[in-house]
Amino acid sequence: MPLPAPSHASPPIPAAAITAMRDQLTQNAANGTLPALPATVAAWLAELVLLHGVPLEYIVPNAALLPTESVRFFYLDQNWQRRLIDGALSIGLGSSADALTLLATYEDSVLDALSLASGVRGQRRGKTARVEAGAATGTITGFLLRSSVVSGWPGMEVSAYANPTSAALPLLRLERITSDIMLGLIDGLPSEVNFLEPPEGLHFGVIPSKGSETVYLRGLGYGDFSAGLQMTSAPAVALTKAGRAAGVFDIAASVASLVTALEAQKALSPADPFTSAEFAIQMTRGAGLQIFQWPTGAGDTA
Amino acid sequence: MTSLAVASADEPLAPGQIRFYQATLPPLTANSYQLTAAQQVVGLGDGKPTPTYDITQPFTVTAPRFRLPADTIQMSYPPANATGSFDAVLPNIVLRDRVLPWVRTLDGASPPPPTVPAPWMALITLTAQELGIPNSVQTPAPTVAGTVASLVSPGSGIYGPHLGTLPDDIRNEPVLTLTLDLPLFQSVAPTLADLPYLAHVREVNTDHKEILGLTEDGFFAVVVGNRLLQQQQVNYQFLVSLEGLSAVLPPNASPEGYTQVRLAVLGWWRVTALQSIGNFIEIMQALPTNGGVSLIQSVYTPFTGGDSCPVSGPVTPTQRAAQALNLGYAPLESTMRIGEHATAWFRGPASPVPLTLDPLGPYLRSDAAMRYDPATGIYDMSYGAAWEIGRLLALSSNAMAQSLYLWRRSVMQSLFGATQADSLSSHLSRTTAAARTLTADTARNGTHRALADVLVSMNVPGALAQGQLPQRIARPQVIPDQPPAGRCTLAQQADSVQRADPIGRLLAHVFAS
Repeated sequence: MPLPAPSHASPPIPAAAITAMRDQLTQNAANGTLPALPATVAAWLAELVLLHGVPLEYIVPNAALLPTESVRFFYLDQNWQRRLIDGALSIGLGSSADALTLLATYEDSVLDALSLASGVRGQRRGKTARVEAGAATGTITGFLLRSSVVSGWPGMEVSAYANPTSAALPLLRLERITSDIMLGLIDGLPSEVNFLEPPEGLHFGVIPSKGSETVYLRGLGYGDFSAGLQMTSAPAVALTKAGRAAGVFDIAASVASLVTALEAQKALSPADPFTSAEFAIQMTRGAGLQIFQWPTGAGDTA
Repeated sequence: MTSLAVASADEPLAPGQIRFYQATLPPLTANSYQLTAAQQVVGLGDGKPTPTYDITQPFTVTAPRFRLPADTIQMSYPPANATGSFDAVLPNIVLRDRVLPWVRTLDGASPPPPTVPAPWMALITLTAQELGIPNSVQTPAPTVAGTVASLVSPGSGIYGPHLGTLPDDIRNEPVLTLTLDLPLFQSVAPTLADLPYLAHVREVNTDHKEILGLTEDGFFAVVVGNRLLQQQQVNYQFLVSLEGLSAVLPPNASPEGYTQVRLAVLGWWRVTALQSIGNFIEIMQALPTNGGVSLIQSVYTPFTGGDSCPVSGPVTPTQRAAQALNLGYAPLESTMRIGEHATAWFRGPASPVPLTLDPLGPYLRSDAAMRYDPATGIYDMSYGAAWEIGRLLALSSNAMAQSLYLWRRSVMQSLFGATQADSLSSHLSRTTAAARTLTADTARNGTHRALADVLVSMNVPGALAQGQLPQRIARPQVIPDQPPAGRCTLAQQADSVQRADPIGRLLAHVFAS
């Protein structure tokens, strides 16, 4: 007698069965007999939906999507996140009862994972994970920065704002995924993303810009400018070279330009002369700030 | 740093704050002084002379002059012997003695207050090449150990500091000297007008933490260089005394008859500045022209014949391809199960357009997540690939896989009681209705109720009334002599076995009570 042909197609699980099972689980959850998704699994899924462990080739399948020296902004695909969870939860499905359990608990697992996602970055930094209700469940956006600044300035600071006056949007992830590619995930839709050169300590220095050496002015506690604060509204001041050996400044002439620029900003008290103390404050190197306006590309520096 | 915590003049200094001062002037600059006291005696009587007595006490205010005490230098930036990209950095040195830069003056004369004299020391930066030594940190020190005599009387053609006549004991003091060609010195030295800006005093409060590497509370003098470090060079920083050298400071011309200058070196260090990797802002500003700043979309040469899709009407293959590329898809080669090689679309989790949540899924297999475009015959593998990588990552995490498995089993167990009641009651048709009407929160107890109902319906003696929850099914107190007519129940069979066993009957009595 010939054997029946093996059936590869498993019979579809009737929707009614899923509904019945889900109802039963709801009842069990209501009377506290349903075990919650273990914290280990929920935390792991929270990292997964933020693409932790996902190889770069899956995020950027083609080099044309991220050429060298480029920045690419994107929306994180929620369906992609859910397919990652599908795959992860599908391990060890031994029977259709297992599959039923998966289907019946799926929505809760996804919600658990997404709601924990806002705490992942804090946890990874060794800070107390502060999970905020409703965080990371809406639109998640992000950027990929492939540039020599990623390898050259490891402490770069990134902040994103929904609009210029609002508080910074939470960062869900900010990591170098290769030596020169940085991946950032932002909870919300920013209108502005700022990249701040890392503070390397308070040393004296200048910012080279288009062939000249400039400094960003700092307030001196007069006018509307608090002492020591970088005046982001003021243009950078070019210093004067002495024209002798390479790199030697004409300090006296540079001081004159600084005084003129500070007076133009009404930041210099007429009662106080500009001395070596004021000079020291001005020459404490400022940090470069690059602003990108969402979504149309490069902004300007401040 | 965008902010520098600067304290105002009259507020107490908080930790982390810095207060900057123009200078700290000593009450007396270092020099030889004469203290003269005179007393006139008066009132001795009419016509008597009034004698005057006076006394002169010479004294000297000393201060470091040709070398610094060992612990004077707090720190330097860049740190000594460091190697790095010290691009656009002005070197500086921090001194523990806050009066030091003003304890002397360039010409020995102290101007009356409030004039602040120029500091007598300066930081000059020279490269190994300019010093004529190999560009390596292994080279011996460029300074020469000599005596003050060799400094102030250096020989013909060499300009030494003009310090007047020095006593012999001072002339024999050791000093580190550096001899430079005059044009070289004048090309890097600060001018007289520059000097007042190149030294200041900082006051810090280090109550709670270390700040700027300054480990003590209080005041520090800082001397700043006037020259940027030169790339790909070993840069030598010399803290030199400029006392008695005003005549050779730029922009003065070289004095007649001199080709070199000899300096007293108070301290020196060297750093290696590597090739600059560029400037943060310049690299960021160049992004739009290099790789571009945009949404995540493939960069491709525009197709001939127009890319943009028409609002209505047929779409050409080129237009369709362009549309997919603009949506962030990448064409990749896929190997089908039957061995066919085909092109498939793939898009990662990063999308150039916002997406809505689709109601499909969850999927139990990755094949179910694949999409097929009947118009082009091309698969979209994005979600299938996402499913697979999710599964692979879960499989690679032992802890996650284990606890997921245990959790799923415990969910099954929580369902077990309810399911058992459900299936039992569906098999016992007479009590199905009763069991089903039970409230949901007693699903597990429902099993017992259903059982009890069954027993009642079977006329088991001693069975509980309907709805009563049994802890244990009690045995009948009175054993009937005769089995009831009809079927023999299981309980009766058990009883008949027990009746044949006296010890069993005794035990049954004990436990039933």
